[in-house]
Amino acid sequence: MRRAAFTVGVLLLTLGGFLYQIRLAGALPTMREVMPLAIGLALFAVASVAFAGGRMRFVLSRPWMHYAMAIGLLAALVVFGRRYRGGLYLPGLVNPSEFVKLFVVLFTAGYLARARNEDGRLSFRSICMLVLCLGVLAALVAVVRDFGLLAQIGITVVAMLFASSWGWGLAGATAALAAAVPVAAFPSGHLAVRMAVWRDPFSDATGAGWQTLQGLAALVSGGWLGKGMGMGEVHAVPIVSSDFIYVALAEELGFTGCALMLALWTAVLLLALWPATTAADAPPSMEAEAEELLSAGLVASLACQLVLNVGGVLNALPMTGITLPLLSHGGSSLIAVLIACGLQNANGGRRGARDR
Amino acid sequence: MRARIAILAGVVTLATLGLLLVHARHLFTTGRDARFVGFLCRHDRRVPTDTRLAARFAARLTVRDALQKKAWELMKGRKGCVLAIEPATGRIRAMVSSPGPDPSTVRGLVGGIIGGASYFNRALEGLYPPGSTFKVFMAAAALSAGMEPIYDCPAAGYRAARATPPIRDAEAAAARRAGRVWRGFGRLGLGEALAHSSNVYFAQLGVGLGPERFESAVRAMRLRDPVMVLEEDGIGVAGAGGGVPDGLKAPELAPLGIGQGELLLTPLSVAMFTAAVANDGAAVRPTLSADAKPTLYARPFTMEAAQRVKRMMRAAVSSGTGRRCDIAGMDVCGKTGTAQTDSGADHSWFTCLAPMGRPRLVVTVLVEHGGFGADAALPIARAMLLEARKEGLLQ
Repeated sequence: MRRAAFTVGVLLLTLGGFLYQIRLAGALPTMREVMPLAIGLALFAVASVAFAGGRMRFVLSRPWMHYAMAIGLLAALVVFGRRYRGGLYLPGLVNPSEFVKLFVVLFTAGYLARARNEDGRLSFRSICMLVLCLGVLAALVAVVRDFGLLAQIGITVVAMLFASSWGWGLAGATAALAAAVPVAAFPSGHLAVRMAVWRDPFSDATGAGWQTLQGLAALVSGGWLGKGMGMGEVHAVPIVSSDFIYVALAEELGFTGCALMLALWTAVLLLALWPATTAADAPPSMEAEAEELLSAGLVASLACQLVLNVGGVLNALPMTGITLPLLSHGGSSLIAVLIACGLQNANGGRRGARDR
Repeated sequence: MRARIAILAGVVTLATLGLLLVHARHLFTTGRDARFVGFLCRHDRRVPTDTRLAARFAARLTVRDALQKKAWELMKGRKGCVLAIEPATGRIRAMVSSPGPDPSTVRGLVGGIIGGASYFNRALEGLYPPGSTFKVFMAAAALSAGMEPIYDCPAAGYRAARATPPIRDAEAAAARRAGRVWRGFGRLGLGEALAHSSNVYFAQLGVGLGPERFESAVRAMRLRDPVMVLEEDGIGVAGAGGGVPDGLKAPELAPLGIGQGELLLTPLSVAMFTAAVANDGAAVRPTLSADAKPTLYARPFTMEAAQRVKRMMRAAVSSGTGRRCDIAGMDVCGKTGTAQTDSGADHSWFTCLAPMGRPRLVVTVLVEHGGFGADAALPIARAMLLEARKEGLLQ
């Protein structure tokens, strides 16, 4: 039942997003544009079915493979990456950062589940190991200068550490957050510009602050009920189809439309957390815990993207160049998120006769 | 773990609610932020066409949706501007500067200004030679100073000083091109000269007016002063001051008399002196704010002078160069302008007011490098007047 609701929610968001992209493009999509949607939906279905019935453990039992994949993608990005419009892509305009996030979540979930001592608590040593591994990863991300990705990975890992235990897990989470403070407090270069514009977009109204101000103009002009689908002048906002899709919705569907959209997203995310809350009472097995951590991680990752994107667009947070999952334009992101949703769908199922 | 997951769920929900709160807060506060208002008026072309956006401002704007949309349509693909102002109240009913900024190609993102789109408002900040539209100002200034001379206007033109080239009427050049012979206008009075837009006459009028009377007329109209059209909490949207040279000797006034030479005005200034003529010689401060009360800005002309110039402008439309703007049932009074530029084709101007009896609207159109005033700018003004009549603005 939960799975059905989750699937419906994800499909609504995906297809609604795709339809809205058609509206923004003003033309019917070409084959090249439909491909990511088709591939994504296919992989969503495949992941949901293939790993259901307890087979998720095959995925989660290989944390080091996932870590290797994440490092591999980042290394490829360092070596082959090309900049386009402020973002870094692999040849073919593929943005692997969503896949990196997915692998990080899979790695962390598998690792933390295996890191328990005999008395069932996380050991200090394992936390250190985790921090080290993720530190190497973070360093690679910093080399590629994708601070949005860094922030997302950081927050996601913190959430997963928090979810895993009260003891060292929580300490690790706090330490990770503390590590972020100096970066935010003393920004340099590109970051400094972003922070300055965040505080006062008028300081550079026709330069760095332009996108934010045009976004706010669209938002304010939409009002409570919006102007109506197709009636807004949405292309006045730069890069509206990916980063700033929220203000296009705000202009055309108003506060009401945005509230409904966010409510749908929240419902989908809360549904995704469900298997964890209906877990068995007895101390969970390693697989079960890994699956719960996976849910927590995926939800944290998607929620983080949502909050960072909408917060940035509303100027509540500095812009981080993060897109809205499932609704924004961007094939790789769509495919990655749909795969993640598929895995989530397969998560926490009944294991039939192989119950613990 | 169940408890901790539940906490995560709670955090996610609270975050979403927080975002919605921020969204709602923007709807209340940002629309009223003075700096935001200023930014929108200068840079976001949606503002005047989007009355819903305008209505959210602390200052509601005077521009009318239908007129703005019409003006955008008419100016599509051209460079220039359209202004429509109510002479009695100063309310700006349409203000369009084309090409509008293409808001998705921004300096910061693409590193350059693309395709000639620029971010300044031509109506408020563009400085152009006014060409023959300035003759309206000259005529009103001369009449206010008690001058109404008759000058001889031969085909050979008028030479203000031996060293300067002669100023000729447009008909002379046209006749030469067509291989005809043109005898000149002969002796002209002010009214006919304005109707026919005779350069030879107005060059002489400029010289005849003299530096002192010219300077006092310019000061009376405050042509050099920037004009604030919207002011909210210290931010201002203003029209630029014109570039009118001072300290001129009489012969140097000849080209200024025909709106050329070192003279540069904004389209707003041209609209303002047209509005002063429409409003019996009193220039009301132009404003974008619906809440502002009409205030007197300047009193450049006497009432008699203004009314007479108005009638002369009527003649310009009924039988002069502005013929194509003569609309039945609407006594349009107007003046074409064809301003020579240093580079490229002439700028096309047309400034008009309607209806003559009790002028309700002044429309000023400039099409950069559009050629003759009657060719490019006039049809746009004509369409604007028709649209204004449909909107009931000419009642």
